[in-house]
Amino acid sequence: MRRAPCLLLLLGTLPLVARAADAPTGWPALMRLKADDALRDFAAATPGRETDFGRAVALLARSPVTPEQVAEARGIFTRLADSGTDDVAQGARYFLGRIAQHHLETADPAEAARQYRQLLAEHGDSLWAQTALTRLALLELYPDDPAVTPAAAVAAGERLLAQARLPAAQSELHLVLADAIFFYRLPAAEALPHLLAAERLGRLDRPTRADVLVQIAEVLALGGDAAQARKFYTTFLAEYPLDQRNFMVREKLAAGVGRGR
Amino acid sequence: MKASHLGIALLVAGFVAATAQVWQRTHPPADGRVTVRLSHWQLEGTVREGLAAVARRYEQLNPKVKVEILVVPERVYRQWMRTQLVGGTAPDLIEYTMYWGRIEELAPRYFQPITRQVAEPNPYNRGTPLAGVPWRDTFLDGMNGPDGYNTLMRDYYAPTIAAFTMRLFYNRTLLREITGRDEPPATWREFLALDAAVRAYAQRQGRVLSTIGNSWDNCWWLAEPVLHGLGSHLSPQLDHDHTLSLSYWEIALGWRRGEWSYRTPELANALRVFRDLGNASQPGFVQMRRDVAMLDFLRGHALILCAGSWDASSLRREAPFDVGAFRLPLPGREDPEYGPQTLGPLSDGAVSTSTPFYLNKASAHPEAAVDFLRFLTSVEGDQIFVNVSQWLPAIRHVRPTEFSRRFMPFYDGYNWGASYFNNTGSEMTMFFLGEMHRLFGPGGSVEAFQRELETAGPERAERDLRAHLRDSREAFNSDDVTAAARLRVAGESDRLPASPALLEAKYYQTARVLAATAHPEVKP
Repeated sequence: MRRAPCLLLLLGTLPLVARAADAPTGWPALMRLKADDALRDFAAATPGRETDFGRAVALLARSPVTPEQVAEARGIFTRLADSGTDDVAQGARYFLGRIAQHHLETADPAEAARQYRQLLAEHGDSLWAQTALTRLALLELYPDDPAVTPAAAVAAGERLLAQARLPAAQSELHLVLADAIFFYRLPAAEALPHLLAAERLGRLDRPTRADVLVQIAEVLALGGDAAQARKFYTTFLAEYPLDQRNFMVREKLAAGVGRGR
Repeated sequence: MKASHLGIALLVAGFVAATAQVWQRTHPPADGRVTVRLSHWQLEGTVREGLAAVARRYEQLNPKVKVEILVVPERVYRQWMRTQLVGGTAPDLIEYTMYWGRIEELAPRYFQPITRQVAEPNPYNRGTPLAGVPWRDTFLDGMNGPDGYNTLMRDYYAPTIAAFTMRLFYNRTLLREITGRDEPPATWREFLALDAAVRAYAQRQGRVLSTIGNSWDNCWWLAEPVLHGLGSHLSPQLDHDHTLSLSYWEIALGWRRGEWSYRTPELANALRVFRDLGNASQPGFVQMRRDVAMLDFLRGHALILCAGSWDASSLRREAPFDVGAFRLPLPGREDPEYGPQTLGPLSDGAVSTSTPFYLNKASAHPEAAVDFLRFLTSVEGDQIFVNVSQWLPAIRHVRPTEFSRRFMPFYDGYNWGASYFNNTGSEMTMFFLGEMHRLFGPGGSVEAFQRELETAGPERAERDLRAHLRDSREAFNSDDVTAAARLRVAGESDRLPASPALLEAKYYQTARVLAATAHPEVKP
């Protein structure tokens, strides 16, 4: 009789166990950041590089993320990256860069940049390398070395544009370059080509596109190109009729753009 | 019966009851209908009835679906929701707001994005002016609010059902008694004159009466528009990225970089206005909570209450007098003292809708749940909700009621989206609110408040920024994992498997500014 509640509790957990066993790999669980479930699913899956890769990724998400766990993941990624050229090897190389960039207790930007450069050199066109390119750009744009001037940092970032193959990477790269120019208070006109390129690529999400249209119009107006500025202000008003900036944009159009801020 | 047997019996009874409840929630009703469950915390006025009315109409249109609404008080809602989510018994649709934080952790774990669905027209808008319009564009804010679109996840999540404004509610009967007029003040100078008239009236009548019924919470709602409104004249100078709006980083990092301070003329003016509003409130209000301010107002001890339009229907129901409402009359261009340093007219802020409902990833009936969301946010559904709740609509072409019309947002004005009040984050907000008593009363002054902010503020700001860096890193790391998983499961080859680089750039910018301006007493 005394064991009855325990038995009932145990019986109550059975459907949960049965449900989890249906999942073929740990990736669906990782999409939901359920790292423990993912690790269990990967352990039950067919052994191989993909499973090892998944397990290492899951280790980066299992709470609490300990330095030992990160070190274990790093070990797996290193083995995978150094023992092949497949998608798993590329993903592992990318994660080695990410670990050095953000997962370590003390970031190691030099190591992160080294991993990203190696990935770009070996598999420049791949999705992982193109993602690495945008992360490498951030390391170039915001270096630890105080001797690097803002203009030099931006120039280093701009040199990476030549390696951007995927439109998604090109778009991100142009956006972070323009943003760095604004952050460093460099002449706003230097951001214009990047903003225009990002807009032309057509990959911006709606809120970002709204910002970029306004930015282009504002920088053009500052530079005295009233006709072009008007075009972008008008596009903005047409595409975002409910944006909080509409009043200000309409005021600018009514007053004649290009007269400065 | 022995005590141990009774204990076991109670345990078994409790377990059976819990099992029955879980069974009931995870199995369809006996009539074969699908049950869609929705939870919220809105206990104001007739909001519950509004949602119930929408549910009943939906059930008429969809006889095979039953909508069950769970109302949980706000005080325990978050804990309740967490427990339900972890236990796998959470409703299909969950009200949550990203202002409560942790959305970067909650979203990938528990909430289902609806990006694909919101790009398609809402079928319940057939025959309306919104027929054929993508669902997301039927919202007044285009679903671009923080709950509608998650910039980190780059996905649309939660449709919203209402819009809100901050208003000064007033006791029309008492106003007539004091001034002989029905109309509230339209300018800052008229407000100051009203405050003087209230004081004189209270003294004449020997009555306990203040112009504003205020509290710690209400003060928060007052500080934001005052600092934003008076600060608008300064805002263009801080808009370094030329977006015609100020981001968190422009405000927070600009302050650290010394580009603005609470001594900057526009913000010093804002503090003066804020001080005058505090001095027009009942003594000791900074120690009180919003329910005390509400009671003061309802009992006739205060002429005015600063509150959100969400409280309007409650006030109308509870107040034994005629309630009016007006916008806070901030000093404008015409003001003799502040005019030269103002920018007008000012709008009510971003077009922003609220009361968002997230789709539970573990929902047993996601299609039915999304379908109910479509109806709830259709012209017909939101109109039903607005008519009963007296809240303002979130959907285009939905008309506010005669009563709620007076709270309609005013958009035709300047708005930079700047929060000089929140500044670097929650530490600074709490510090501001904790020290604001230095502004008020006979011994209070703007100078004393500014001095305290300069002395202890930088340390608080640094804590905010370091917390921001920590949270950002956690978010990037989580996003690395979910993005890699998404790549594997969904095979998205045109989307980079990482957080947006632009967001990650803000991390580096913050770190850079912090390194250049580090406070000696805050450990990294």
